[in-house]
Amino acid sequence: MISARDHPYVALSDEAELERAAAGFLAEGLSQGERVGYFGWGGSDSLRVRVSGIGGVDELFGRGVVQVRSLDEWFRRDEVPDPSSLVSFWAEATNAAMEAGFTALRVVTDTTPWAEKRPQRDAFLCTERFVDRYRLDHRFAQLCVGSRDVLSDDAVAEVACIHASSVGGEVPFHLHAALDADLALDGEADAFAAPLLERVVNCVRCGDSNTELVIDAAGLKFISHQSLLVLERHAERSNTTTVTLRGTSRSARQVVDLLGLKRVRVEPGW
Amino acid sequence: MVSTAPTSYVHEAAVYGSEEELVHLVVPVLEDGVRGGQPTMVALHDREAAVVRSALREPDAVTFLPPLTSQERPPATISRFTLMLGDLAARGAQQIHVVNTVPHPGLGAPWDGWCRYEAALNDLLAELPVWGMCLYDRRITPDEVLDHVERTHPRLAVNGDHLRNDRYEPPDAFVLSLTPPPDPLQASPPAVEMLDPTAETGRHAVEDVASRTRLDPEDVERLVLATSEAVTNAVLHGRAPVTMKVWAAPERTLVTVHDHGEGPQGAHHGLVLGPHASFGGGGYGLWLMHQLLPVTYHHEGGFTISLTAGKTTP
Repeated sequence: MISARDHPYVALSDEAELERAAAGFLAEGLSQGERVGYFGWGGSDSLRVRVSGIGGVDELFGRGVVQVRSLDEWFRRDEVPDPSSLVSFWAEATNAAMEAGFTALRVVTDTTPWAEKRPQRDAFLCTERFVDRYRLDHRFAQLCVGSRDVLSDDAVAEVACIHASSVGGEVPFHLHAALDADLALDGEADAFAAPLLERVVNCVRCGDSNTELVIDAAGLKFISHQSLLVLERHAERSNTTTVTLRGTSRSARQVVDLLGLKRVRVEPGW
Repeated sequence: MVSTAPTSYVHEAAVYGSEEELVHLVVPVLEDGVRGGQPTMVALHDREAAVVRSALREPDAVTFLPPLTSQERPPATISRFTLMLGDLAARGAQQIHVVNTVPHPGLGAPWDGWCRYEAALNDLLAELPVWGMCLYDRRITPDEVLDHVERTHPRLAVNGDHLRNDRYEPPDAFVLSLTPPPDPLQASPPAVEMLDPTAETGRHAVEDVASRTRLDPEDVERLVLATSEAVTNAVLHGRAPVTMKVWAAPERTLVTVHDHGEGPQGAHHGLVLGPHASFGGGGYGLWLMHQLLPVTYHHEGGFTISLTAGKTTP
C-alpha cells in the first residue's frame, strides 16, 4: 500500500496502472484538504490525462485544488537540478499551497528522465535525499514515479531503494531520510545487496560534509559483513569519522568487533 | 629433552590417565623451560593446574593461564596464541614452553573445530620457536578424539620420552579425511528442507524454526547470520544444486548446507583469514562462521557445512 508518509516510489510499465496509483495517492490528499498536483514532462494538456481518474477533476482544476505542471518549464531532462534548487522549487510550491488555505501540498512527480542515465542518476540520488529530508518536517508529500519501459533494472533498483517504500522495483532495503538520524536503513542488506548499497550510499551522501553519519537501523532486519564493509569503505572514502548503526542486532555488533572495523559502530536502540 | 632447532615448532600430544601421570608428563617440560630462562606457561583447568603447581620446584617462574574453554572459538584462540607467541619470539625467546588442554566432547565442547585447530597449528606455528604440549585425559576423552590427536601431532610424550609419531598426517590431507558422525537430530526428518535457497530465504526459514525453540535470541541471531554466510558461500563458490536442511529440538537447532563443489581445501580455512582476505575483496565468511558458533564440515559427495546453535552436544 502506498503511504504518503513514506515518500514512495512506483515503477511500472503499464500506463493505466501508473495512472491509477497516481490518482489513488492524490485522491487521499484531496480528502485531507491538500492541494494536489502532477508534475511530469511534456505539454500540460497531455499531462492532464494522468489525473483524469480523479473524480470531478475539471472543477478541481478550476478552483486550483488540482494542478498539473510540466517540469520542462523549470528544469532540463538531461540535467538534474542541484539539491538547493529542487528543494526551493518544492518549498515555494508548498508555501503557495499553504498560503492558499490548503493543509499541505501532495504531488506525483515523474522522475524518469533524471534516473535514466548513469551520471544524471547519481546526481538525482544525491538531490533526492535532500527532497526526502525536506518532506519529513514540511507539509509536503511526494510520490515519485518511473517508467520501466525506459529505465533499466539497475536504474529502478537504485532509485527505488533510496525511497522509504517502493512498488514495481523489488529491492532488499531502503535507505532514506529519517527524523532523528541522518538516514534510515530498513530491510535486509546481505552479501547480494551489498553492491547496490555501495552504489547508493556514495550517491546519497554527496555534498555531505558531516564527519559523522548516524543511521537509524531499527528497521534493518539483517546486515551481512559485506554490507558492513561497504559502510566502512564509504566512511574511509568520504572522510567520515564514524558511521553509527543505531538499533540493529547484537550479532551485527559482534561482526563489527570481529572484523576490527575502525569507523562503523553499532549502538543499541533508543 | 627434545633436540630441535630453536626456530621450529614442536607440536606434541600427551595423554594421561592419572594425576601421577600428568605430573610425570608436564613437570619436566615446564622445569626445562624455567631452567633455560625461556617463557614457560601452562593453561589447565583448576584441578589439574593445582596438581601441577604443587609439583613444581619454582611454581612462580611458570605463568598459569586460564584454560581453553568450550565457549571459545578456535579462530580467536589461534589469533591470540599467534600474537602472544610471535611477540615473545620477537623479543628473543628461543624455545617458548606451553602446556595446555584442548576442548573436546569430554570437556563439553564440540570437537570438529578444535580437531582442525590441532591440525592447522602444525602449519600456522611452524616458524615459531615453541614447544607446545597438548594434554588429553584418556579417562574422559572419546576414542575418536584420541585417534585424531595421534594423527595431528608429529610428536608424542610417552613415559618421559618425546617420540616421533609415525601416525602423524599432513594437515591438509587429514582434514579432508574427516567425516564427522551425523548429529542425533538427523535421525529424524528435517523441519525444513530447501533446494537452492537464496541467502534471504535461508535466513527466514532458519529464523522461523529457531525462534520457536527455547534458544536464546542471541543464539538465534548468530545462527541466522551463520546460515546466511553458509548459503552465500555455497551460491557464490560452490556448485548447484544447493540443499539446506534445518532440524530443531527445544534447546538445539542444526542447519546443514550442502553443495556439489569441492569446498575449502586447506586445514587452516576458516581458522585464520586467507592471504587474500581484504575489506575490498572479501574472504571472511567461513572465518566468521567459526567465530559465531560451532561449525562442522566434510567433503563427502560435495561439501556440507553444519551449524549448531544451543546445546552443542545432544
